[in-house]
Amino acid sequence: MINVWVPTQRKLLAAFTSFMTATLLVTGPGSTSMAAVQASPDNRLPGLSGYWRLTDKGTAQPVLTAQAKAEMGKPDRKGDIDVEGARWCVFQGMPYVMDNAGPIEIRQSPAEAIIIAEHLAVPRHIYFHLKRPTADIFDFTPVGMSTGKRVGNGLTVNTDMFANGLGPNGIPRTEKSKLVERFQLLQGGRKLAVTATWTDPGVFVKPYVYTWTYERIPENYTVQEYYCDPRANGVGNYPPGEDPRGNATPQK
Amino acid sequence: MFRPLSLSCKLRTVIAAVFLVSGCGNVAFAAARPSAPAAKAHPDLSGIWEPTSGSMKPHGHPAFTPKATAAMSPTLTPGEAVWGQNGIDASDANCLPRRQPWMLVQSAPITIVHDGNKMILLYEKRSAPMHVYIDGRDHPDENAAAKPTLNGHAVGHWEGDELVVESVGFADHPGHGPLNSLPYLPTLKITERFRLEKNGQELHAQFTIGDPQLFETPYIYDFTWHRLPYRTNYALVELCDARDPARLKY
Repeated sequence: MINVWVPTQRKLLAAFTSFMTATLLVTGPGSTSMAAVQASPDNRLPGLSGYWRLTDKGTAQPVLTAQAKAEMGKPDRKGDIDVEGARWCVFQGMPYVMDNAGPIEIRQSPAEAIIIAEHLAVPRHIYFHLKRPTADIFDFTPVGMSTGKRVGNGLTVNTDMFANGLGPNGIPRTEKSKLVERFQLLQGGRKLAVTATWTDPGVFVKPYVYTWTYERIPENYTVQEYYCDPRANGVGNYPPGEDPRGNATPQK
Repeated sequence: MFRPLSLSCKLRTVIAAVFLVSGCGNVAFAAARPSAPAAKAHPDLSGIWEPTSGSMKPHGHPAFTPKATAAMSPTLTPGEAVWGQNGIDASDANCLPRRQPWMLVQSAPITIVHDGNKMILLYEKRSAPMHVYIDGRDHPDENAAAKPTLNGHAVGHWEGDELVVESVGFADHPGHGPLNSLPYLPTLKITERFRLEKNGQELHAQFTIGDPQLFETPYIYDFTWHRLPYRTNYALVELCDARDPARLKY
């Protein structure tokens, strides 16, 4: 064995530790890939990201209150789409985002998942670690406020603070509506089942539960653009005196 | 006192712990790392990003062509002139979506969700998502029947820790132009180079707006955002209804 002239182990340990501490202070803990969101726990559902096409809406039917039935029976109701709003390119919100406005795209980061319907411009944000804002400061929207977390082999999402509008099957969606969704992958990730539970004391006699099933679209898909101009739908606003329909445009 | 060199458990433990804390990508460790064929992790640009004070830094003044100069002084109809005097245009009056690059360099935050193969950029206010494909695909072939779109077709690739995004194929819809009121022409190409700074707390981007019909030389500017804490910040959803008569009154 060859004896090599070296400092004692203690001196080597001290020197090494000092050097690495200095290096970490200068370069930061690891690459910038680690420095972004140190979110814990990781609530992302592996395999959920991708493109999905709705293929089955099941057959579950709601049990409505008398008040909701009366609302549904009004002459200007036309199913689950706000036709006039759609002509004016008004965002309809939930659950339409998950329905015929697709296909949908889901992308996950450590802090949130977003769901974008191809035929709509406004996405859903599902926050994994957000401290939920309270109703007195949050502006209610057609997609509400969603937070989610991994529970077992699925992602559970809670949404409330909806603005009034059309809910599932044209049922009224009110500021008191609450939605719990369970996202689960099936058949090795080729299918996605989303079980939705709607509650609203003024609308549903009991929770309305249904499961919608989606099929995965290959990842080399190219998202088609959503572009809606109300003038292309026979409505819209024109400069004063230039409405081709001869309407007077409101002026200042 | 000098002793033969033999590493103790304590020293080995310290070295292992420091490697674990530093993670991958630390240049200081590159030489000491075991020769395992691990894929290099790219920075994660995800987050809610808010512009910092003085965020935009142009590289000089744009060098417009005569065609660009003429395009920025269009002849307005009488009705358009009335609207213009009231600060109204067709895009705002009809709630038409805004798009890149204008939407990325405004005062409101942007949200980026980035999962490796795809990056989506969302502007908080009335706009369309910007889809960036980072899966190795190229732009549609020139001969393909690809429809021009609001945000163009955007593909990205990594150059070190910098994500380079190139967008082509823009449709000329009403609204803010690639710069000022310039039109989106088929010859437009926008390049954005994104990188993280300050330990991932700042996002920097360099924008290059290139169109030989409109610019003698590409116009370049830098922009900086700072990260908003993810536990207390969320994107505001702007809802626009063109039926609201207030939109036509200023």
